Amino acid sequence: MKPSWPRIIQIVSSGLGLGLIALLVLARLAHGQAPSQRWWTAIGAALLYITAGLLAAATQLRRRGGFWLMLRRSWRARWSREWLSLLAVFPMTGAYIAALQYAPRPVQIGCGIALIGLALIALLAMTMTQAGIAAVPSWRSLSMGVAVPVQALMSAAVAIVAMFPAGAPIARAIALPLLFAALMFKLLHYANASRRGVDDAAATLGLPVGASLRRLERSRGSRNVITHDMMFDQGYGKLWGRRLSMFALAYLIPFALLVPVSAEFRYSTLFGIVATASCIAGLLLERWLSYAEARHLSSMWRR
Amino acid sequence: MRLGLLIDTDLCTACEACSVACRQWHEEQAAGDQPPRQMSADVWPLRVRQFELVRASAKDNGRAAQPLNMPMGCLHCEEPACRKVCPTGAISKRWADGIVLIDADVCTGCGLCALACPYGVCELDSASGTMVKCSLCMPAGAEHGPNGAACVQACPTQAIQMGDFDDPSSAVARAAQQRGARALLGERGYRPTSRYLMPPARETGPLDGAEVAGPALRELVQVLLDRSSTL
Repeated sequence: MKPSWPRIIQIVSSGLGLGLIALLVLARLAHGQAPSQRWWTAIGAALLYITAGLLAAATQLRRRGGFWLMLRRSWRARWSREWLSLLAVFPMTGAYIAALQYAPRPVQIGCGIALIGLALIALLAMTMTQAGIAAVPSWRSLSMGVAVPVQALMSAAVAIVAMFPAGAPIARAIALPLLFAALMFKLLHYANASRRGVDDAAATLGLPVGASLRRLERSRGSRNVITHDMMFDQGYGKLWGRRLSMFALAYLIPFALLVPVSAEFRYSTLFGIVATASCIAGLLLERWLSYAEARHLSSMWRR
Repeated sequence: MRLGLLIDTDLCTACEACSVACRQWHEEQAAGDQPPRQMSADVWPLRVRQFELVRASAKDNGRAAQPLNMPMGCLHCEEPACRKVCPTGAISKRWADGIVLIDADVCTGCGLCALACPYGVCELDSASGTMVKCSLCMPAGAEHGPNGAACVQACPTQAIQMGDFDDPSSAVARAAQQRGARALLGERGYRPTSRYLMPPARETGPLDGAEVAGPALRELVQVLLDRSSTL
């Protein structure tokens, strides 16, 4: 068994990149002055994160040349909005950069708002690929749909603290509420998920009350793409150690490290870097757990 | 027209002839004019799920157990969840007969259909990098042969029947109506075309030859006993 690492890396890496784009452009719109060298570097890093996520997702396609096939056919199906919106961020960022260089302020604002909107749409589309799967009842919830974009913005805000020492207090003021909000949404998701279980097969077979089913053997009925590749099917509440590690790495350690950050604090950058690394590791574990703990409806035929 | 399978779990013995015939058909189909290409070992577009069904009973300490075998391939849903999530539009539902098909030429093997299907019947053939599932033995663009799907032909007990569920006079529609066939996960909003007939409740206990075998077998046993006594 192995988790779907391409998908996990895509959501965390592209999410961080999209969150960075949204927050950096928002900061530029609010600030209004010419961007600094660090700002350009941060935008470049954001595009690299999105590219890394896309490349990771491309390895999920088992067919050789599947990425190009996906792009060629992407207009055919609504589920490819994720790919299209992610790719559209690149030319839109280019348009915004061109506007920063050559266009008057109103055009810059228009392009900036459009880019922020597109980044948020891409985040939502990426989330809905998972949250829209009805066959995994615990995924299909509003808390899941909100938690992933908030986490992406959270990781971006924490990364900005490390990237911009001068603006660390402002970035911290954004990052701390986002960390708290993401933690709350995650807890809400767990509370919802524990109620969204998978029935026993006896229920859908219309068996009388008191009847029960027991799987007789696990021969060729047990292994397929879902059990092998997509999820561990451990069930909610069985991986407490990893769940606690996830909460510590993704939310609590970054929160604790960002609290002392200020303009005067000598180790703001170091604390920001450690907080970012911890946050990314925690989010990778969080996505891993989302696959490991989820129970697919088809598991009722395997139990 | 809405083609599907009617599976009588009471007749299924879990011999898995249907699974083997199905896999063989897919290998031949994928090869075209070439010799059949072997699919990955884990790929079974039709799997027989085997359960022990325990019900309340008047005998045997109040519990009676019996086998429940369920051959399960694609159930050809009326609104297939797999089709909705396919990012390249490789999965289609043929409205002429209701069969859900995967176009292997445009499937990227992303696996989203396997995740979306609540029955777990979309299989990844890692040899070709594409998804495989039951197509009722109908290649895209072809009409159905007179003998039905490979699993129907292979089943020694005729536990699997194929037919048009939209035609009230068809054998499958009548049997489904009379015996209350189950639409799996219908309570969750899924609308599969293929249906399952559940086994009737049976009392268990010491086997009574006369009750189980019937008069023909009793006569045969009697003949054999008579012959053995003359030897």
